[in-house]
Order: sequence, then structure tokens, then C-alpha cells
Amino acid sequence: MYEFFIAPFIAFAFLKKALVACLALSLGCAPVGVLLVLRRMSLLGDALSHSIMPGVAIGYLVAGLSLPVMGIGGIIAGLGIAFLATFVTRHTQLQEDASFVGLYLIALAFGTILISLKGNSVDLTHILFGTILSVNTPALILIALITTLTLLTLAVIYRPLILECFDPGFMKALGAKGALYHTLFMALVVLNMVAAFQGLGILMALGLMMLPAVSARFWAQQIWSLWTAAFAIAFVSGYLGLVFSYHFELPSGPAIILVAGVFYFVSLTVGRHGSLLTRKNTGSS
Amino acid sequence: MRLRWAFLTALMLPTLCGAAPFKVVTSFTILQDFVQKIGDDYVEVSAIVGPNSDAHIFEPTPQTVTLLTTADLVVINGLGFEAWFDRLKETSGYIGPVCVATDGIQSRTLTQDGHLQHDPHAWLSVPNAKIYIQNIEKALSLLDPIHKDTYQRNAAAYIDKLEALDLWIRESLAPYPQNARVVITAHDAFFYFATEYKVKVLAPVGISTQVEPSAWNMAALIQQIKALGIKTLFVENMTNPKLINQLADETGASLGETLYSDALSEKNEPAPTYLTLMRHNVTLLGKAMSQMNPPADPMVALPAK
Repeated sequence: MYEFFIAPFIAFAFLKKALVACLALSLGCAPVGVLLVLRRMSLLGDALSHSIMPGVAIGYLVAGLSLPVMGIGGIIAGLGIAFLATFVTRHTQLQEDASFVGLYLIALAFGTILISLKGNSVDLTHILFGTILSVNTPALILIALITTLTLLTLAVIYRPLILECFDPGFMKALGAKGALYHTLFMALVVLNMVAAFQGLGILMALGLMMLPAVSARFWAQQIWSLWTAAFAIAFVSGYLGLVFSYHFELPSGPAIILVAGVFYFVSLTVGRHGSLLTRKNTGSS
Repeated sequence: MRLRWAFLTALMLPTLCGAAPFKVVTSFTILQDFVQKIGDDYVEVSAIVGPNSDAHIFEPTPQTVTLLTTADLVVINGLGFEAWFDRLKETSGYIGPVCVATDGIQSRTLTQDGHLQHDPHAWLSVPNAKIYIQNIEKALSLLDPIHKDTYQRNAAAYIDKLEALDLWIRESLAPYPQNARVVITAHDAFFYFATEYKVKVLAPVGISTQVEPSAWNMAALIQQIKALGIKTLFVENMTNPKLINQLADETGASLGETLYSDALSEKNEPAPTYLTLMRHNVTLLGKAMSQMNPPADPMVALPAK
């Protein structure tokens, strides 16, 4: 038992770092993921991963293959697209998903053209994005910082944000600044995702954010319990995924996401709320 | 209509060949260098995938299509290196000759995801490079017979240079014992080089640049680096350095200068031609081997699963 579950983490520093990265990522991404699911914005992450392209490309054109410059460019582009999309949603008849699709496609095309200006074929995202096995100390500190910032901000804006989630009309009637909280939340989403993309790659970042969040829906009904469940599922997936990746020679990112996937299928079959099992027992609803 | 055109071009061929150079399009920079060395002033060579770019993940643009339509000859590496070439050939409507430079080379095959794959990086062994040169010379002489003598003379001169290079590589690496001839690089491009010059090359990622490693691969590499006392790790141009950085962090080894494997560098960088590329790589590898302190026993134990 000890040999199988604990020894690898004691022997290798890179596994320790990967595990700590999973912990930090689970803490920060689980609440953000849950809120995204509740707001019906689960597919936002995919769109964001493309939106950062022009920023990355400009960083590349300005400073060459410098990871920090390309990363900062990505964050700026991501934030820009998120704010624009929020603006479009608030002031036109388009829904959140529709405004995002329009903007991210433009961003992706623009980014691709910017890269081709330099005249050679380089897959920038391929160079920029790492895997969980390549997380080093600076990346770890960055992820931990962003997680801390996320949790603190969420604590401060908790009540108005939740209210805004469920009843934006009520917020408006109260004269409160709903848009402000929503924008703050979007900024958190972008920060979390872009940092996670760079540290861990797109699959890992999105997988650890969204799969535990959707699984948690079958186990909990309150916001706090949803967050706890999502965090627990995310962290256990990360840990088990690493263990399997080590013992069975599997690529780490996909291994972690597949473990989270197993949790998802178990949850939707036998979960306590609204799963296949409970619906069958109660007949309907 | 097409027939008439063909007839007209055939009539004009002798005059054309005197004035306009023979146009050759190659798939990547190393082939471009080879064709240039053989064809000299009589050919005009271009490469579809440019310096420091990764041909594994290349995507054709309209320019590449136009490039092909004006070509008199296309030279590709083969062995699955240019997975995009067949589709490109079809879209561009190119019906001219295609020279596969690796024709007749004993290729390394491996099974990946259940089906057989060739390792395309054959050019990194100098004896293979000689076969490349012979194949390209044959194609040029056949299609542009007026300059056949020049092509053959240039090819022979270049093969002399390759033989000198081959000798120099063997001499440079000769001082190091078998258990010190171990090198870690970011992606597995050096198999042909390794077999030819009896070096062991280990990499966390396989022959394509796009696969993620497992935690087990990383752990095994770390054990080997520590056991063999390897002091320098290498990255190639255009590969993600993050994994190698992680290995360096954990083992205390340092990062060496960039190796060039899948593409030549720009003119102002250390590897603008095949000859400089090989010399650059071997110099770096030799330096790394001289710093190692390998154990007497070359068998290195892997961690228990």
C-alpha cells in the first residue's frame, strides 16, 4: 500500500510539485467551475483558450519566444475578450455564450494571422503550455498566488455575486452594481484559466475545473457544499491520476482527467440529487 | 488543350533551360541545403517549412500551394515525416516528379498506438546523408540532363565533405567510454545518429513532438541521470523546454546549448547548413560527455514499480 500510494511522491520532487499544483488548482478552480456551471457557462473555458491567441502572438512578435511575455499577452487578451463579451451581453440581445463565440472566433483568426506575419510555422500554444509534470517552483507560486487571490475575492463578493447569478433582475431593482460583480468574477475566471493553461495545458486546466464541478451537482445543493464536493473530487482525481500515471506509464494529464471522468459517470448514475438512480426511484421529476 | 501546352513547353525546353534556373521545392531546410549544394547556380531551391520550424505540425498555406505549382521537381524526406504532403500535392494539382530522399535507407520502425510507424529523422546519420545526396543527384541529372556533369561533380565533392565529417564525428567521440556516451534530449530525434555513432540517446517524449510523457517516464529518466552522473541536458530548436527544465531542477544537471535536429537555423545562428549543424551538435555532445562521471557498472537499475 505504502509502496503504491506514497513512495513515488517521497522519491521524486517533480511528483510532489505536481501534487501541490493539483491541490492549489483544485482549491481555486473548483468554486469558479461550480459558478460557471450554475451560470450555464460551462463551455466558456474552451472559448477562452482560443481567445488568448492574439495576445500570445503579439507577445511573440515583440519579444520572441519568451514565455513570461507571451503569458502576460495571453492574460491581457483573455481579459479583453471577457470584458468585451460581458459588455455585448449586457447591452445587446445576445446571450453570454453567443457573444463569446463571436469574439473568440475573431480572436483566433486574428492571432493566427499575426503569427503568420513572422512567416514560419510555430505552434505557439504548444510551446507555451506545459504539462502537470513540468510544473516548476515559479509556476507553482503563480498558481498558488492566483488561487489565494481567487478565494479572497470570492469571500468578499460572495453574497452579491450569488444573488447576481440567480436573479440579475432583482439586483437591478435594488440598484446594486450587478455588472461590477459579474466583471470581477469574469476576471477571476480568466486569471485562473490562463495561469492553469500555462502550467498544465488546456486539457488539464479545463478538466480539473469543469468535471468536478458538474459531478458535484449530483451530490450537493448548497453553494458551500457544492464547492466542498467539487474540491474533494478535483483533488482526489489529481492524486489518483498521478499515481496511475506513475505505475501504469500513462500520460499524466489525460490520466487525471479520466479519473475525474470516472467520478462524473459514477455521480450521474448513483448521485444523491437528480441522478439516473434517484430519478428512477422517484418515477419522475 | 493540356496536350498542346505540353507540346509547346517541350519545344521551348532547350531555350528555357539555358536561361531560367531549374526550380526545386523541398519540404524542409536540410533538404534545401542538400539540393543547393548539388545544383549550385543551376537550380533555384526553396523549402516549404522554413528555418527553426517544426515540420511535424506544419499546416500548408496558399503560398505553399503556389510554390508547388511552379516547381520542376519536389524533394521530400519520406518515412512519414511530411504527413501533410499527399493532401498538399492533391490540392495544388502538382503532377511533376517527386524525389523521396530516403529511398533505399534502412529505416527504424516502431509500433505506436498499435500501428507501424517509421522514424523519419534519418538525415542525422552521415552515411544516410550520403544516400540522400545520391538520390537527389540522380533526380536532378535525370530531369535536367544538360547540367548532368556539374551535378555529378558537385555531388561527388559534397560526398567527400560528408566522409570527412563522418570521420571527424567518430574521432571526436572516440575518447569517451561506452557508459559515458549517454545523452538526454527533449524529443526522440537522434535514433539514427545514436546507432551510427554508438551513443545512447534518451528522451521524455517520443519521435513526434506532440505526445505527453507519463510520470513513470520522467521518474525513470531522473534515476538514469543521477546514476550515470549526467551533467548536461539538451533541448532542440522548436521543442517545449519545460520538461527538460523539470529534469534539470530535480537532478541538479544544467541545460546545454540548443541542439538542431529537425530544421536548420537562421543564417546568423550556429547551424545554417547541414555540415555546421552536425559539427555544432557533436561539439556540444562531446563537451557534455567529457563532464560526466559514470559508474563502472553500465547497467543502471530502474526504480521499483
